[in-house]
Amino acid sequence: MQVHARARDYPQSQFGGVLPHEAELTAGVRIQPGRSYGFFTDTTRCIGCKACEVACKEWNNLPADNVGLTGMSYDNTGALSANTWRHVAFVEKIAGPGGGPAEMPPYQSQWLMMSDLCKHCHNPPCLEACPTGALFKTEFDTVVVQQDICNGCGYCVPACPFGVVELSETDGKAHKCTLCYDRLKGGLEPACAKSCPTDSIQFGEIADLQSRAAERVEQLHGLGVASAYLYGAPGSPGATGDLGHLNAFFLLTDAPEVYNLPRAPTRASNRVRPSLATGLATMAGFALAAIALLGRRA
Amino acid sequence: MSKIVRGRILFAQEGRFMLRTESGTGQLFVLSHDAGVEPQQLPPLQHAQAEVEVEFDETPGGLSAVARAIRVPDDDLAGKAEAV
Repeated sequence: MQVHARARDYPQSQFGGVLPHEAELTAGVRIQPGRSYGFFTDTTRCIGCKACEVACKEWNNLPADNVGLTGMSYDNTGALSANTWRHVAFVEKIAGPGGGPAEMPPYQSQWLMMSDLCKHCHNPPCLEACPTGALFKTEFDTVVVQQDICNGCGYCVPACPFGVVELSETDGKAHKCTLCYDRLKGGLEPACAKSCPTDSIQFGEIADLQSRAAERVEQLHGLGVASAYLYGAPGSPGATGDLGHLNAFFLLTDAPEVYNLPRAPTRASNRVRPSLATGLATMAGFALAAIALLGRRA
Repeated sequence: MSKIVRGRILFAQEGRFMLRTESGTGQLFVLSHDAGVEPQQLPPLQHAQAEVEVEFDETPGGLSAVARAIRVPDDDLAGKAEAV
C-alpha cells in the first residue's frame, strides 16, 4: 500500500487526539456511511503472531478465555466464541507416509495459518433468523448485534453456516465481531487490520479489496503457487447458497475444510421450504396409512 | 460466595467494563444476565466517574469476573450518578 499524501501533514510522532479520517492514513481508505467495507485476509502472508486477536480483545474489552494450552499447535483460543472474535488457526500439515513427521519444506509452506472472523455476509442468515431485530446491517454494510435488543433466543447460532455466533454463558446474549463498528463511525480502521504487521488482514472498500485480491491470486499463480484461490469473493467457493459475497473474504491455498471453513455454505432459510414439504409429505403418508388400516378393520 | 470491590469505571463496551479499583489496579467485569443493570447504564457511570460497588464472582479459567450487581454507595450519590 502506498503511503497516503496526507501523511506529510503529520510529521510528529505523538498526537493530542484522534486524527480526522485516520483510516485514510493507516489503510488508504476514507470511511463514509453508505459504502461497503470489509476485510481481505491473505493467508499466505499470515505469520500467526496473533496481534489481531490481542488488538480485538483490547479494543473490545473482551476477556481472555480458555487460559492454557489446547495441544493444538500454537492455537490457544481454539475457535471463535462469544469472547473471541478473531481466531488465528494453525494448521500443521506435517505427516509422512507412516503418519510421522516429514521434512519441512522451505518457507514453512506446509504450515497454514489463517485469522478467522465473522464473514459479514452480504445476505446474512443470522440476521434473517433474528426475531427481535437485534442483528442489523450497519451503514457500512457490516452485521452487528445490538446488545440492548438481543433477548438471547439463540436462533442466530445454528443459522450461521460458519459457526461464528455464540451465546455468552455470562449475559446470555449473542456476541460476534462488529467489524469495529464504533471505530468505523469514528473514521478509524478496525483494530485487527491496523495491528496486522504483514498486511495479511487488509481493510477497505469491498470492490477495491476484491480487485486487489484477484491481483494477488494472479501474482501467486505467477510465482508457482497454483493452489491459491479466493474464498468468499463473488463466484468463488464460500459465496454459495444465496449468501452473495462475503464482506470478510480469504485467499486460501488448500481446501476450505482444511481451514475449518465449509466448502459450500448456505442460508438456513433456503432449507425451510423443502423441510416443510418433507414434513407435510410425512404427515400425509401417516394419514393415508391410518385411513387404509382403519378402513380394512371396518 | 460473591465478593465485593469498589472503584470507578474506566471504560465500558457493551456489557463489559474495566474497573479501576481502590488499590489502583484494573479489573475486567462482564455483566451477568441477572445483574439488574443494563449495558446502556454503564456509560453514564463512566462519564460521571462515580464510585461504584461491584458484587462479583470469579470466572473459572477466565481473566474476567462476572458482575452480579452494581451499586452506587450512599456517600457518592450526591449529585454524581443517577444511572443505577
